[in-house]
Amino acid sequence: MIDVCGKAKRLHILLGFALVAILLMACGDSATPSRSDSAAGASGEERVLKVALVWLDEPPDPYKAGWLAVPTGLAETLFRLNSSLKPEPWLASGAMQIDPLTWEITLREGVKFHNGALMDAEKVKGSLELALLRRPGNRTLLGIESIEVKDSATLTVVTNAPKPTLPGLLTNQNTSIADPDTVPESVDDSASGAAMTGPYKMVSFSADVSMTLEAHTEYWGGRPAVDRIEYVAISESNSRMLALQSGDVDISVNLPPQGAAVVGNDASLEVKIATPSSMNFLFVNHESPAMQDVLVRQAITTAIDRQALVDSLAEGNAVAASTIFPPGFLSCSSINGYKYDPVAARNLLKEAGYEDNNGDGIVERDGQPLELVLQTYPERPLLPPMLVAVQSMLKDIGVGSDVQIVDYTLASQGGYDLFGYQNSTITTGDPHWALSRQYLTEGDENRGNFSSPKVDELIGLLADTADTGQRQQAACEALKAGHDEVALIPVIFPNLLYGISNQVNWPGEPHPVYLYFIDNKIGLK
Amino acid sequence: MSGYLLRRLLTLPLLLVGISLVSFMLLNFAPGDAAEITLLRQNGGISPSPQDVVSMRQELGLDAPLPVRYVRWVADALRGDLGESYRSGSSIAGEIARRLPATLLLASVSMAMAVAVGLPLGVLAALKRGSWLDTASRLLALVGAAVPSYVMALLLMLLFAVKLGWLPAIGYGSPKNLILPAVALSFGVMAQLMRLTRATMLEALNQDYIRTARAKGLGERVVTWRHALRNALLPVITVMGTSAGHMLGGAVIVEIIFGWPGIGQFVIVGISQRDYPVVQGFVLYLAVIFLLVNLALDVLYRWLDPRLNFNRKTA
Repeated sequence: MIDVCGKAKRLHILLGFALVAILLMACGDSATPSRSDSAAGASGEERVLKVALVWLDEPPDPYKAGWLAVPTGLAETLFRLNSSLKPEPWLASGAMQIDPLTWEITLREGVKFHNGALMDAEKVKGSLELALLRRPGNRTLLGIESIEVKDSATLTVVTNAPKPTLPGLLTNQNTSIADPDTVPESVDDSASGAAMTGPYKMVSFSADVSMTLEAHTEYWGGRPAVDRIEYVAISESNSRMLALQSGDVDISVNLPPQGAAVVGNDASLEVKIATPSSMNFLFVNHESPAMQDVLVRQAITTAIDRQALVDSLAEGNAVAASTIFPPGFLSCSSINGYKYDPVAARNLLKEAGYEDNNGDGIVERDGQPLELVLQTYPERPLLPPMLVAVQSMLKDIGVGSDVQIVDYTLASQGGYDLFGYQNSTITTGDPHWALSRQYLTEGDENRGNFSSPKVDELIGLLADTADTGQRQQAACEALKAGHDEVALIPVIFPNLLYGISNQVNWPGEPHPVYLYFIDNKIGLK
Repeated sequence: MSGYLLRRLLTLPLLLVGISLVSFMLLNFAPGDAAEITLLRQNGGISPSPQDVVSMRQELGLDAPLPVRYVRWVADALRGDLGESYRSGSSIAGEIARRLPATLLLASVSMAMAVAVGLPLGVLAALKRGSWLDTASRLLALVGAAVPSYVMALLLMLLFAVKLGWLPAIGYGSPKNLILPAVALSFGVMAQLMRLTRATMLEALNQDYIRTARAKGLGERVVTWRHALRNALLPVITVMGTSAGHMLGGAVIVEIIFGWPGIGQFVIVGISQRDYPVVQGFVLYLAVIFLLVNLALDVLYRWLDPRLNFNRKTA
């Protein structure tokens, strides 16, 4: 072959590569980490905190997208959960139950909306009415019949049924307070104009890209710690971690346990751990023939080595679940948490009539092997590996199973024996909320169709109990009844992990509930 | 040629109807309840009551028979209305249009990089068969084919953003933000183009017409670039076309890893949230892209090789 590419051409190629390399290096000079930009406040310049969130896919509407408006520091609710997960006043200053159907709520004074208007009872009434009008779920949740203004700082709220936990219900993020005069007619535009009360106010929002907020200098809780917060959306967890490592952001939320180990080894970074509030658990399909027998359900829950899942799957960043509530939320001395004991699990199966007669490793009853369908969904990264681990643990006691990754709404549609799921049981700060949703016949979150007249009765008693001490006892009794029946199988409570740069000043520990992530105190050193 | 083009253009609507019908059916038979997902989202994760789910199904029009829903959707699509997202309530055509510039930018820069590097390297590797350049380019092609784009994306991030600190790991809006996603996306295509160009060039260089051209005294530059390359390009163009289609459809993984606000990211959220109108609108958009790309490819084939005859009557 004739060589047409002599030295000159080779040189051209090499020059081309060199050019690309120089270009990359040149870009590097100014592209390097914004960490120094963020910390510029030390020299009196604007202080900007950069935060990587998972989603920014819809505008932070106070009623429609409180899940975004509240944790980013834009919006606040009348009540919030404290670090012990009990409701406490936030924009309210107090609440008093006048009679079973009537509450009087007093408002915090001196609160200003982002537009400078003063928050008063009239505006809060208007905001709550909009929240009820625009969010049907709020009507179901709160059961509010009417709201009246008693004076400029007091509201009278009448409910359609006794609501002893109304302050807890008003911690719901979709009841956040906005100046009703600024909320546009169309719900689709409501995020852009709504003046809320949080420490930061909206500058710009670009769906799936970024959201910029600036300090609300008249914030009732004191001037916010930074001038501006720039949120970026990174749905991929490894990318969020790399963006933190590269200095593109100062805080990355929701790190995976493996990422936390990497961040923990970087001297310029730190992991902040929020005590857990969400539960990874298994719905039991109570309509499946195999799951009808409580002994089988007890065998399954006894066969799960929760501590092993905490240690290996979550790399220590979780707590083993002994009931549906995280540690410290509801202390019930009468309840023994499910303990890992494969021998006891095999005995329970034997008691239920299951034995491995044909020696294939799977127990059977009346010639039918005990083969289960385990389903879960991929959006929660810990769930699929958790289910695979459970599959292996079940195999150890002679229970066969098939793991399927499906859509999460299939949890309501049967077709499985156990369904791996994650949700929060502490919302509203009162155990009745989760018990009525998870254990009550036809409860909203009773996706496995558990039904027990005894449990229903005990939850009914809890609903009617107003006295705090008696409520605790009634809640424990209802919880124990569902627990003994293995209405569902709690597995672990994963920690919420934040990766932060050492430039971030985060006083105290993260709140257990992600909803209260950004406040006026988180800033830069 | 013009008759062929006219025929192809006339069949486009039929193909689109076929594609949209299949996608509509498949999506509707997929498990999961869009009404429940929409309510869960709106209620901040709080499960809706069965009554709320029923009324939401009515509100979304999901209670109508499938053929009625399909006809409604097609009629709206003909007016440029691809419906509204169950999730956000926003116009899908508007959302696609809003994200199109980001996808176009990433796709065009990635394709330009892949062609600018892949084609010349493929030609040079063929010309210098057995040389260090050939070995290096084949190694590069092997790496490009073997390493998935998401691994490449994370490796690039780790090296250029975390270790060297030269480029931002994530973001959108400045040229610096474009470099890593474009390299990650183009790498596999570049490798494919390089390998294919090398193979087709080697084949072309052994053809009789090349020997004839050289015998006529034509310069090696003309022989290589005008005669051999032009004939070697047909399969390469095909790969370029399909790759361009995929890139314009949204490089889902790369967009998600780099937080690039293109169509791919929009669609993946739509799929995970069972947002049927979004997925249906995207399938239609993708179908249009691929049909147009195929049409453009046919025109290019004809330009590159006038011997190709698309007229069936005289074939």
